[in-house]
Amino acid sequence: MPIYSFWIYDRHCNCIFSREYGTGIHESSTVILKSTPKRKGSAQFTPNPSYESTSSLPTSSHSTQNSSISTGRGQKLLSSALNTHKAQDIIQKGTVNTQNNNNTSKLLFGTLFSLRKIAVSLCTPQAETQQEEEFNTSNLNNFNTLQSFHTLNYKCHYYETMNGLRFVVVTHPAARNLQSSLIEIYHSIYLPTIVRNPLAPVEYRADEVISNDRFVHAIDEYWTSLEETLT
Amino acid sequence: MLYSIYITSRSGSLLYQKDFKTVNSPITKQRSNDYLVIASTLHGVHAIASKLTPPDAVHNYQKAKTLANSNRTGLREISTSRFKIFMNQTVTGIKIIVFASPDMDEARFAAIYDKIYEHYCNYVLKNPFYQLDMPIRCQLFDTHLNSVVAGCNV
Amino acid sequence: MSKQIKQLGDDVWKTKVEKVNSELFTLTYGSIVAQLCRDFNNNYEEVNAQTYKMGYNIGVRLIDEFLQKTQLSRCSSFRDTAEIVSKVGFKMFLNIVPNITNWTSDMTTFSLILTENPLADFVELPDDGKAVKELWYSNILCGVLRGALEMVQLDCEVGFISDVLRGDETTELRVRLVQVLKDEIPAGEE
Repeated sequence: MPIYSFWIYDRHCNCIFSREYGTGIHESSTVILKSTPKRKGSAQFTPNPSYESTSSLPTSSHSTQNSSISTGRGQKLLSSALNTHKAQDIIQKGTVNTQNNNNTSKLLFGTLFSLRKIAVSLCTPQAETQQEEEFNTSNLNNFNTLQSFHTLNYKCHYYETMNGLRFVVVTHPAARNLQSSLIEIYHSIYLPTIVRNPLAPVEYRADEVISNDRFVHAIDEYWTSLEETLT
Repeated sequence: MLYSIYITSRSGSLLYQKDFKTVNSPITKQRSNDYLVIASTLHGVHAIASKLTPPDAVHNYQKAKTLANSNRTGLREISTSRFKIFMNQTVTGIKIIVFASPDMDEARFAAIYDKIYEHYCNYVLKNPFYQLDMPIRCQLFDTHLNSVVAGCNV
Repeated sequence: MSKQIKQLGDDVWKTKVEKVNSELFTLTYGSIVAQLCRDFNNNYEEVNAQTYKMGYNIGVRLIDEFLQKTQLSRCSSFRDTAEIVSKVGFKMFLNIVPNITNWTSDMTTFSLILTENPLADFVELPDDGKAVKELWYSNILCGVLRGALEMVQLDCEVGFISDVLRGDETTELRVRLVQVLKDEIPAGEE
């Protein structure tokens, strides 16, 4: 269930972070399948985040010798190694902050913005005083929240904080509701690496993006650690 | 639970809109102009959503168990915390949009959609005095739609 | 594919379609044509145009009925369209299955040979010498097809080129695809 992309918009509707992921489906899965027999049971093959796919591949003669090694452990190693490989692949085939200002980003934001407006306005009670009306029509009331939308091709999950930050992730349509993941990212990644980081700006200027390495790595790690991403 | 039904023409104008009196419906009454805005927004967003398909995802629809109809790449479902919106489009471009409670799923929507479409064919299109692409004011259609809604809001 | 389409046509006919008395249907249509002939003083060109127009107005509505009952999605080729028109469309509404022949080499034009025609069951054209040359008695069918195909973005020309009522050997209906109205295909489809 691949994750296609991840976006953050600030309260001025600017895209301050965009991350595209390779899906690991089309090219990479066939590569993995082809190389699977070679690796089977190879003891020297350990999961390693900085593992590079071609250089450390054991030769085929090697694997025939070692094929008697207990399959249970081998399998487990294999699957986690495969996952690491795949995770690496997903991360490497993607791009960071290349899409912030293109049409996709703007259309995505526009779509979410319109849907959010529908969601909220349909649940907004009739205002009785002017002050109440002002309150109701303010951009950020809480009568209803948009969670996700999907087509047959993809699903888009949405989470908006009270101060107008918007987190968006685009996945395969069969994905479960990932809003909780977006909330978690806000709490456990965005807060420590951006908000508590004295060097990160509070208000992003136009064209300014999050390029903090710790943040990017944490995000990558989070998405690739999800069961769904790799299966 | 069904809250509202909208039908839009192929150019995105609102042909029919009805909020149903449902207990606990979160949907409040809007000005009549707002309904037009919502309908045309959904119409536009439906098309944009199709354009937003990630390049790696363009073939996902082939594996989906779809309604055997024609909304392959457009927007189908919107979830909010208080209601869901389901949309489907006929080959002729009419959109049937259903607002329902969050527990509604795609399969039940498919059944409801089919009923609505059938009644639309029977009591709107077969009514000789109905003009195509004009707002639907057909008493019989109302009655039958009400019974569909009553049937699933029990 | 062709077999599946035929099966679909049969199923829809058997399970989903309401049947009416065919005499009532035939006589109703007959009296409309006859009345039109009287109204236009046997100006058969005009009668053809009127029945075509009536058919068109039926077609643009009937297509949704057809789609709803058959659950079909868009055809991938005009050849499929021909199959579906004949084996599902005609089957469903008239319980006949015209033969598809005379494809042009560019696959944009085909003929439907109506081996039977419920509209014309009891009909003899008036022998004023003009009717057999000018009147297309069942022209309403052309209008229906034209209207229905237009609503699924296939701009077609439809017309009779022969009719057993006129003494021809077959009743042949010609369908020519002028263009696919690409701009009007609703978003959400390829």
